[in-house]
Amino acid sequence: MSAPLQRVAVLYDARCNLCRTARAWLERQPQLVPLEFLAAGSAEAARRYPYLDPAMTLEDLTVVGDAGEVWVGAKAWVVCLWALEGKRGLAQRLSAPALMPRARAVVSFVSRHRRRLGTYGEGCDCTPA
Amino acid sequence: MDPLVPTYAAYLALTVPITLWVGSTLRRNGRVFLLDVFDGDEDLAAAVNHLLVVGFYLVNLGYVSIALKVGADVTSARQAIEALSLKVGAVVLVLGVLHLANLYVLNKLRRRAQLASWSATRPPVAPDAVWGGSARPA
Repeated sequence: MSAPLQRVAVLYDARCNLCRTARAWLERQPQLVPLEFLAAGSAEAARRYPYLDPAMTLEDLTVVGDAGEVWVGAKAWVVCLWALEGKRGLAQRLSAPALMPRARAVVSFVSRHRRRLGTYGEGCDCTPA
Repeated sequence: MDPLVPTYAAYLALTVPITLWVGSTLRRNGRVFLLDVFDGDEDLAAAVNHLLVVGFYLVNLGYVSIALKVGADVTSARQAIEALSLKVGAVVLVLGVLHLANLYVLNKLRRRAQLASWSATRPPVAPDAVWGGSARPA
């Protein structure tokens, strides 16, 4: 696990307005490690990552590294932040033992309630598998 | 003789050595931090260390000098000691604050350097799962 992580695929819930907003924000940030966005549950995601359960990737943000590493939920967020220029300090702090459980709680809370935040299922750019 | 003169002499005799002592402590131990920050570059570490210590001396001796004057009348030895203690206390507190500020700056520099080298290639969290070669995108 010492080979550098050179690019990252981000599987996000494209039906969810909040997730699309988050994706747009991530896309706007200068990236040190390129982030590639894929709609979770899409045919493209299934073709490239047949081993990932589409239902699970639709439930929690999932990040896949170029050597097959999979990060889910809060850890996926840490990886996304780490990939951005100027956000590595934040990623480092969040990943500390003192903050990670809290980060996990917040991410899972938002994730569970995201259907109620904003519109859901509109403007979907995915074809669910 | 004006009793304030020995008070001032004692004030300077206490505060200037304390300042020099804190400055030399800073110089000796700051070097270790800075060597770490600058990746073992002795010359750069020594230069930055020297600049920091000079700044420290300037600010502190400036404060010692400005704070010298005692406003109240001093007619007895008791009053002289009280005035002296107040002045020395203020100088030592300023020294302490400056010293901690210096440590903060040094540590900040060190943290930044560590951050750049630690997570340069891998994210700070371990993956939840790793899939073999099959994970490579087609």
